[in-house]
Amino acid sequence: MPRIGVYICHCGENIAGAVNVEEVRKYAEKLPGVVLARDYLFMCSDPGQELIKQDIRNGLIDRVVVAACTPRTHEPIFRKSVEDGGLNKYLFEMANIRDQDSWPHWHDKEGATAKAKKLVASAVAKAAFLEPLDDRFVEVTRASMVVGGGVAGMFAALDLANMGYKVYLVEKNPSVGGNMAKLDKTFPTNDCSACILTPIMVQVGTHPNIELLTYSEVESVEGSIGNFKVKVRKKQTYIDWDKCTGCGDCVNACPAKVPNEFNEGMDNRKAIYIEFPQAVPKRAVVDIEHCLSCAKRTIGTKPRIHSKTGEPILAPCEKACKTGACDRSREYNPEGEIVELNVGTIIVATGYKVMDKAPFKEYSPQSPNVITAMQLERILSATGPTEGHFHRPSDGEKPKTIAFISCVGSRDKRYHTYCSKVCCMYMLKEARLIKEKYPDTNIYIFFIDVRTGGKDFEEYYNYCRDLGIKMLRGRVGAVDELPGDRLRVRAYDVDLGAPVELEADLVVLATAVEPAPGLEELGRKLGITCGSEGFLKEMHTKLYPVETPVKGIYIAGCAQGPKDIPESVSQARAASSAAAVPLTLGKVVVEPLISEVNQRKCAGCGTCVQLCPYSAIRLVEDKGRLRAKIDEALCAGCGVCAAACPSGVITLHGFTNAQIHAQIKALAC
Amino acid sequence: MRELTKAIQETAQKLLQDKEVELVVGFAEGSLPLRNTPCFIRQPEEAQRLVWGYGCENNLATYLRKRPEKLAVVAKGCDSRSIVELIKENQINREKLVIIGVPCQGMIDRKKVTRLLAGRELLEAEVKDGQVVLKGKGYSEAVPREQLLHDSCLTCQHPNPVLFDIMLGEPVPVKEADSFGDLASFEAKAPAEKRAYLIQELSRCIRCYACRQACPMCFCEECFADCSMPQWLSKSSLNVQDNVFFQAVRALHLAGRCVDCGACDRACPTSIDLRTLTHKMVKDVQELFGYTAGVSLEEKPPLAAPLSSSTLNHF
Repeated sequence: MPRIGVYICHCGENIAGAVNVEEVRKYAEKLPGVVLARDYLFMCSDPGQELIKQDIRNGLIDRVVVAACTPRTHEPIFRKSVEDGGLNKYLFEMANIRDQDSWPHWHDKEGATAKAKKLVASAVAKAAFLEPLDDRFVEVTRASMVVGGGVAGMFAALDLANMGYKVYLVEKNPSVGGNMAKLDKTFPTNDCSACILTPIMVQVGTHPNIELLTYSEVESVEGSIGNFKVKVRKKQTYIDWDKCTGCGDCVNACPAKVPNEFNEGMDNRKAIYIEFPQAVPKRAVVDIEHCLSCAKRTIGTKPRIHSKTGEPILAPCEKACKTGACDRSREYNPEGEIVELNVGTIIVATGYKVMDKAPFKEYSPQSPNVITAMQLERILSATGPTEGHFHRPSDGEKPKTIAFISCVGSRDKRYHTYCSKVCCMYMLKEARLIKEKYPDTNIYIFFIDVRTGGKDFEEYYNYCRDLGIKMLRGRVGAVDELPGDRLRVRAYDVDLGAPVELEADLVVLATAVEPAPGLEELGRKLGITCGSEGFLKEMHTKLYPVETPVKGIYIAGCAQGPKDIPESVSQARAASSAAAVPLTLGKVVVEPLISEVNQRKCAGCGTCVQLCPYSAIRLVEDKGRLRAKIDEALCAGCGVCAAACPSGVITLHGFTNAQIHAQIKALAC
Repeated sequence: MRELTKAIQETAQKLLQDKEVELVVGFAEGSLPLRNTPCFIRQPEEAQRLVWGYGCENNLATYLRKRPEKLAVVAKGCDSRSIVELIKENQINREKLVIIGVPCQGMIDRKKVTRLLAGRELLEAEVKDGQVVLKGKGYSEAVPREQLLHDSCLTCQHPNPVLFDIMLGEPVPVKEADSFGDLASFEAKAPAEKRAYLIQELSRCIRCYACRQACPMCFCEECFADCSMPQWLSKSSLNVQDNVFFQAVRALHLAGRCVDCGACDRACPTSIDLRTLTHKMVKDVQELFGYTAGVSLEEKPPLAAPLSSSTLNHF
């Protein structure tokens, strides 16, 4: 018969304020298997833990139940106490009577006390069936993968590489740089975005510990902390990158025109293109969907021979290429190439995308002079469609009056309820850049609230106001097109308490920051989840902001939620230091809470094999029959197999049928 | 029927003679009118015992799991669909199986015949031109065949085998019946009424587990009903709640596997309406996951595939 000790925590007033602790203690004392029940003001304090250790040392108890707060934060420290007392640390069970009881039932003291009794009874019932388990250690592959080559991903990669670890940086575009590469200047210091970013891109490109995998996407992820097996698809570039020097001759020769993503669709690029002038690596890729196959040079075909000259007839890009990097006779696999990586940890920094203007019909998105703030960013940039000249898209005139509209798609129940956080500052920045260069421009910013929390941000705002940028509080109801490429902005000025109208030459929409496309799918491959707004969920908002529920996978930058550059970089560097911990230790403890198949009863249907997110299960032949077998090193104890097994012959240690039945029975009493 | 019988016999004989298979599983004449019985043929000369009739109602896929030898099976639409699911769940080695596909006209439900004859003994039956002529002492009665078919055959959408190596006979046309129309009255019931109905039906259960044994998809090495550690339910049939529990779990275990062949229903010696529960589950699987069991070797059963956002949209 087990001898269970129950310890009930007051958590100051957190628990005792709603739960009658003494009543619960008396109740616990009488539960089957319980030999003693104590309560204490703070069980997690030193004297609280000492209580447990002493009772174990005195030989009074051999199972421990602590009724307190959440195992998420406190289970490790109580397990440690149990171990220090001299018991196997898995002979411990926790009842969460704070988060699941006293807090939500604060105004129902009687109910909270009754529920606390149930939760304690359930934990005690499970404790009777606990089994001693041994920790396992897994060797760590001393390498890391960073997904996303924006400013966050690059800093995460650089930090890890500087610590001496091998880093694979996977970026889906041909070049690293991300959204920051598109920006003209950056707040709050107005330094040129490219000027501060390019050196980082170069460092990433030349670092001996960083292997750059651009134009690549994560195909699948298997394994767990210490030993992730990642398949990365290097998309087909149709150019031999070993030979390409990035001279751009092929680009100049290409006659095809495709809307340029880097300039937010405001001008055209070629079908063969280099993403932007500072691209790293500076290599050309062929956008095969838009390639015209000039001179009938479909990829992988031999050139026709000129009937008179006897020379092969080549496509213009091939003719222009001096190094032979562009060779259309070669047979390229359109599927690209799969590269297999073994890494110990993974950082996800896939960034964001800005919302398109199209859904906002009330703001006349069909007008070329209604643009998104990111488009304005490109207009202001020296590498943009106007080469930095401030022209409006419709006729190239310099706009005299500009209206900015904030919270377009953000803080709006129709689209996103969250605040995109960076819009107030970037609108001010764009307005200031224009106003400083062209002081006679009239600039109006329509806002709901100006949110400029951040170091030096409020000063920035005040400076902009002093420059004469006009701030109007009130939501814009409509933007109408007028003759002569003019736009009428209709809004309600909350401060005046009256409708206002103004005519503008250019309207800039501060559209919302959204998760990068495909983030949810990537999350699924990694086993991490997105919140309701589609951004990746961290493990704990305050205490574990870069960790995810999957050990060994960390997140940084706008993949986790809208943030500005300083925040993205801080978080990236935090993620890299978290991701370096297992690499430095060389091996990690893996909880023995893993699944086991009762082979004798396994019917070999293979359901578990298909469902296991860690590919830890195989079918092996045993006396002519197939049976499932779980690789202990790979199993992460998620329990999917145990739940899915149609025959119910998989046991998840720590959550066995007997334990769970006992809990349910206790709850039902 | 006669042509099909002949074709089955010839095919079986040839397969055995050429040593392509060691065993042919099919149907033989039963001892009562309108009854056929599963039959296992190992010698070419025994192939004459094989027949095709209106009583070939068992799902022969049940006999194919984990067989060591190479064998052939006579399969109608529902058998073939069960075979597809069993291949996907590694219970049948496709390379060791020859499927002799036979189109199915629907099988005759002898319980309907018994009800119709109201106590009179059936001595002879003949099916001709869509009419079943029932004969006994002092009577001869002709009934339209449709009236006597199994309920599962009436709503069947796959009378022709979906997977076969050899196809005998001409495919039969697929009825444009609403496959779930017969569930309307059950679905219209309030939860309490549903429960009352199931309790009323399952009060007759004697826990013989014939339903489980007849089902090709019930292949656990140890059924949860037989398990004693933990003991999920009582072993006695006197506990009606546990009888309902057994059938509810059985239906859920068959989610994405059940092809609605009706074998469980027919096997029940106390004529419990088992099919309503499984049929409803088939409908739910189709509505929630867009999955029909046994029609494709490639499509993963919904409970063996990770949920995708497109699947989740159904919820």
